Amino acid sequence: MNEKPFTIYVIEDNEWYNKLLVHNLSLNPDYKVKGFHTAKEFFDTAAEMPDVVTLDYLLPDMNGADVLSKIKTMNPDTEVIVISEQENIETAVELIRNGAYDYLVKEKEIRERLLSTVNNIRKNASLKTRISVLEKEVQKKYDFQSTIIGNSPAILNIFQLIEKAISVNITVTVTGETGTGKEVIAKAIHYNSPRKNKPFVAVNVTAIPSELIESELFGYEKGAFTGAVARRIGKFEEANGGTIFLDEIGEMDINFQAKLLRVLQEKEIVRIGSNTPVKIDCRVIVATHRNLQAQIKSGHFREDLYYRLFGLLIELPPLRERGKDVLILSKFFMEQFCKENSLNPKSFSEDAQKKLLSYSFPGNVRELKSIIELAMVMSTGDVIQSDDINLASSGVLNDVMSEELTMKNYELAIVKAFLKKYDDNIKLVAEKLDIGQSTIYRMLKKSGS
Amino acid sequence: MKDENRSFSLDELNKVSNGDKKFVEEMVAIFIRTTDEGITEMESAIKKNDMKLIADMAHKIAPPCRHMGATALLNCLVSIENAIRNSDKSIDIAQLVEKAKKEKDIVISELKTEIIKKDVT
Repeated sequence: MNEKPFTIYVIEDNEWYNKLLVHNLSLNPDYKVKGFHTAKEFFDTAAEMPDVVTLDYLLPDMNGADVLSKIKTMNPDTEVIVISEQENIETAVELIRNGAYDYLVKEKEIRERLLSTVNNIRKNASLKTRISVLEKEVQKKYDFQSTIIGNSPAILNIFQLIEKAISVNITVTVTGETGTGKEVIAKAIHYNSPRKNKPFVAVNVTAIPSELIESELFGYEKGAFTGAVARRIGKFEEANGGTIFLDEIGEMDINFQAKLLRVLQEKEIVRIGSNTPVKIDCRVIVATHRNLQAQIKSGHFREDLYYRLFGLLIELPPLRERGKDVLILSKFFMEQFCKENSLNPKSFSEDAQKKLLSYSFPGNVRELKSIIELAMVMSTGDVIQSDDINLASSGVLNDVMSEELTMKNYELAIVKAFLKKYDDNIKLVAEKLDIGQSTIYRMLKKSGS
Repeated sequence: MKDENRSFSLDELNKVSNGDKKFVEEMVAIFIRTTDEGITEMESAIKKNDMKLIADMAHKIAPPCRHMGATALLNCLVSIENAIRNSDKSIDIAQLVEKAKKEKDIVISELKTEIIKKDVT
C-alpha cells in the first residue's frame, strides 16, 4: 500500500536537543523527521504542514504560544507537542486549551513520553483518516440520484421532494408499502443535508417493546430502575445534531405518543430517573406503511402528534406503479450482485423482462432484489431466462391481478389460481371462495379446461 | 551505570544510540561546543549586566546537561535561571556563572579524555 509517510517536524533551538529528538523519532522507519532551529526557519522552509510538530516553548525568535497559534491557523490537523524545560501547569493548560496536543517537560524520561504521545497521535490520525474515508463512502452511497434507481415519473417526483427536504430543516414523513425503500430515502435526505457529518440514528418502533420505548428513545439515569447500572443516553441524544429516523411510527404505543409529542414541541428530553431536561437538536424523519389518518379515526394515533409530525410528505410509489423502473432496477441489482461476487454481468432475455414487468411485486424493491439475486444463482448462461426468474414467493392472486382481463376471465383465473394453490382440491377451493363446487365444475367446463 | 567519580554519564546516549557510535560521538562533540559557547556568552552577558540573556542561555544549555548526567553543572544552570526569573537579589549571579564555568571545564575535560581513551581502545 502506498501510504503517505507520517511527518514530524522538530522545532528546537538547542542543537544538541534538536539532534536528540530527531534521532529518537527517526528510529521508527515509518516517521519522516526533520529538524528546525527557529520558528522563522520552520515557517520559511516547511512547504507543507506535517502531521506533528514538537515545539520548544522558548524559541529565540518567537513565543511558543504564537507559533502554536500560527500552525493551528495554517493547518488545524497538525498536532503540536510543546516541549518545555520547566513544568508550568498554567502554561500547559493554556497551551492545551489553544490546541496543543500535549505538554512535555525536558526530563530524562522524555524519550518514552514523546514516542508514546506521537504513537497516540498516529493512531488517532489513522482513525480520523478512516472515519473521513468512511464518511465519504457513506455520502457517496447516499448520493440519491445515483442510488435511488429509476426514471419513471413517480420516482422523478420523489427526487424533487428529496431536494426540497434536503434544503430545509423540516420534519419529513415517508410513507409507502413495505420494501419501497423508506429508510433509503431517510438516509438520502440526511447524508445530503447540512447535518450529514452528524449521526443518523434509525429506530424501528416495532422492534422495541412498548415498555422499553421510553428508555430506548430518551435514555435513563443510573438507578432509575432495576438493571440501570449506569447512565445511558437515548436515541434522541445519540442523534443530537443529526437525524433521528422513526420507522413504523404508526405502531407506536398510544400512551407513549403523548411523550413524543412533548419532546417534539419542547425540543428537549428528560431521561428516566432524572428531572433535568436535556436540549436536543435533531431532525425527525418518520416512516410508516399505514394510513395515519385511518389510524387516527380508529383511535390508534394521536391527531395532535400527526399534525406535529406532518411536515413534508413523501409517498413512495409501489414498484408495480413504476413501470420500466423494474427493468432498470433489475439491471442495477444484477450488476451489484456481480460486483459483490466477482461474476461477469448477464443480460435479461425478452421473456424474462416480460415476466418481471407483468409481476406486481407485493414486496416491492426488496422483493425484486431477492428475485434477481436468486435468478443470478439459477441461471447457467450469459442470459437470464424467464425460468430463472422465480416468483414463487408471491401470492397467486398477484399474478392474476397483474394481467388485464375481462371480469369473467378474472373469475376463471382466480379459480384456477386457487386450484393450483390447493392441489386441485375442488371442495377446499369452493369453501375458500365461498362458492359451490358445481360452479367451479361449470366454469372449468366452459373454459375447456 | 554512572561512575560516581565522573562529572558526566554517557549511559543515556548509549541507550538511545542503538549501538550507533558515530551518533554518540557527534552528540558529545555538539555538547562540548554548544555548552562552551553558552557559558562564554553568559560570561560576556555578565559584563553587560544582561540578566535576561544569562537566564535564556542557562535555560538553553541546561537540558543536554540533564541527559549527559552533568548534574553539578545542571544544578548551577538551574539556580542561575531561577534566581534571575524570580529576581532573587540574594544570589550572586556572577559567582554562579563562574561556578558553572568551572563545572563546564571539568565536564568537557573529562569528556575529551573519555573520547581519546575510546579512540585508543
